[in-house]
Amino acid sequence: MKKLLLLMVCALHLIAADATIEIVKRIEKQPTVGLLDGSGPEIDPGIKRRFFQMLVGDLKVSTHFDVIDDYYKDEGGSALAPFMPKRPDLVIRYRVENGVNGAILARVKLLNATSGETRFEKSYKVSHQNRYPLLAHRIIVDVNDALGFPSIAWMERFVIFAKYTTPKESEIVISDYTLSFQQSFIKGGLNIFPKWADSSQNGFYYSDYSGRVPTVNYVELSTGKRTKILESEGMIMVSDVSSDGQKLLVTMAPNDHPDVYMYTIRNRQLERITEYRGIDVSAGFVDNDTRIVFVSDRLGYPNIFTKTIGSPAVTQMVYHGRNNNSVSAFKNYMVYSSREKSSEFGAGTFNLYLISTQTDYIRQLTATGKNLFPRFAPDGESILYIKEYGAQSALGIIRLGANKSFHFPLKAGHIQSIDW
Amino acid sequence: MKTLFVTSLTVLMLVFTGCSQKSPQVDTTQITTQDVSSADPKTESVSGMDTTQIDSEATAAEKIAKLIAEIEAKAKNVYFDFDKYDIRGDMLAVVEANAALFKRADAAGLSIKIEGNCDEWGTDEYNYALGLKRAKSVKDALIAQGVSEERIMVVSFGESNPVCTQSNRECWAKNRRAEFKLLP
Repeated sequence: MKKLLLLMVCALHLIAADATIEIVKRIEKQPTVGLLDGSGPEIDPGIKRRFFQMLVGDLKVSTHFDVIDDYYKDEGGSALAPFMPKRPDLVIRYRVENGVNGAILARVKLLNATSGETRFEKSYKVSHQNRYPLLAHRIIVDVNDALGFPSIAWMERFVIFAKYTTPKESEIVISDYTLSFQQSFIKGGLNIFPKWADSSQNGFYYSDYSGRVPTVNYVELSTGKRTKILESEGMIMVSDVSSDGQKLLVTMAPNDHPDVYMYTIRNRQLERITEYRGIDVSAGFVDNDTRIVFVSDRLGYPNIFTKTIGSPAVTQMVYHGRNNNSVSAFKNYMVYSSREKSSEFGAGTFNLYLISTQTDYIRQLTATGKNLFPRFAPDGESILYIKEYGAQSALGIIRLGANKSFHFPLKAGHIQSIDW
Repeated sequence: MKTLFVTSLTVLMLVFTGCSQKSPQVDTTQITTQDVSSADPKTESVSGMDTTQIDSEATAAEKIAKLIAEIEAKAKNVYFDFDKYDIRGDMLAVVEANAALFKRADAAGLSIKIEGNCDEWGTDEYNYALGLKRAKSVKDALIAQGVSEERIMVVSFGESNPVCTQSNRECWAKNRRAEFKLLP
């Protein structure tokens, strides 16, 4: 009887603990925001719908707002009235207009819903209708900044990815983070592993497998000029670029063994960083570009290792999983993809884990599905990755601070690799 | 023929601006491939060409193409276990048979390109390395069988070149392979 009583007390305590957590959540409640669309009848209904959905999506992905995702038309009266009985804290009033030569404009006003005070007001223009996602991202980044929330400027960065179209054929595409705006840059042949050349996204490297010997090329976006950087029998890819854009970590195999090399742009010097007769691949700079993390099969299966550049010693970083085959680093943290089962015939779970380079911190980021090719955002606050389900693949984004993830499916093709 | 589609940096960086800004809107530009001119008129006007020589060269080229097609058709793929690049016991006979084909006197002048391939599992970066190691294992086995190292080159196609696209066990097994291409 005493045991039963004790059990009930413990159970009540647990319920109470949950309630406490809930109270804390309510105290830290985010502002609720609603949208009012004042666009005229001349605007295509499809554009209206997609633009509204993009704004709502961006607000949600920012994780700084509770969003009313019902569509309301702005009739010009009180900003609060259309939402009743809901009571948003903020209202974004916007109006889409047609510009000249296919451009579209957006006039945006952020209001305090109760007082009617204007918090922010700005007009925007984009040159073509199909670039409306970029317009929406800019608006939400500005709204977020106007309210003083942590920056979500990463939303405006372009994602570059390769997608397989047919066997030995792929395209390199530049898109926004939702894949809603896409522009193919390189078509025809097998062109893979695109990597931005620097943080300003002025150019990119990619591997061209169409010729006799795999080659890394650099493409300058403003001119389209292509420059051959390196080539290697067997395989070659740029896996990381140093923070100053001057050094590349390259996997290449001049002796049929994939090893990590460092290439210095300034003097065209190539230095071998790892030397192993198995597989060393996917290296990334860490700790102010003094060390690398990389994937190696030196234990008989793919796992994550680290070494100081210039030193022969190699240290194992991860002690769980049977196949840890991809890694991305940001300052003192890294994220890797790990297969949870030793057989390929199971549920096929590849999960992402975040650990510190001092291995004193680990956090599981995904729970189901095949989650591959993680890449940190430039600010380290988000992680972009490939999520595969069936024959389809999607871009996934994990917002580390909010512990939330979002997926954006690719309609055609299969994503091969990504960078942003 | 590869085509490089390029839009300007400014398109990407300045596709939109606040209306108050007056920076120019730069729209899509494309780098087109160089125009291919029609047949050189000089070629057409050349007369008295040695057609016997041309016929002879064509015949030799045809013979080589026929030989390559024959050997490629006879060479069998080498298959691998999941996540492995060592040659399985049941594949040793395949390697031996392929080595015998490549060592034929009439094939001595041909180069051998071994293409390593993977199934859809895992990240493609690692799969390209895994495919290369598979090709390298086969290369070493062919050398051990007496095929000249100078004739062999290896390349990996990761998971980009599946022969089977269904998502099942049999399909994945078919894709974990090394293939052979012969070059004149």
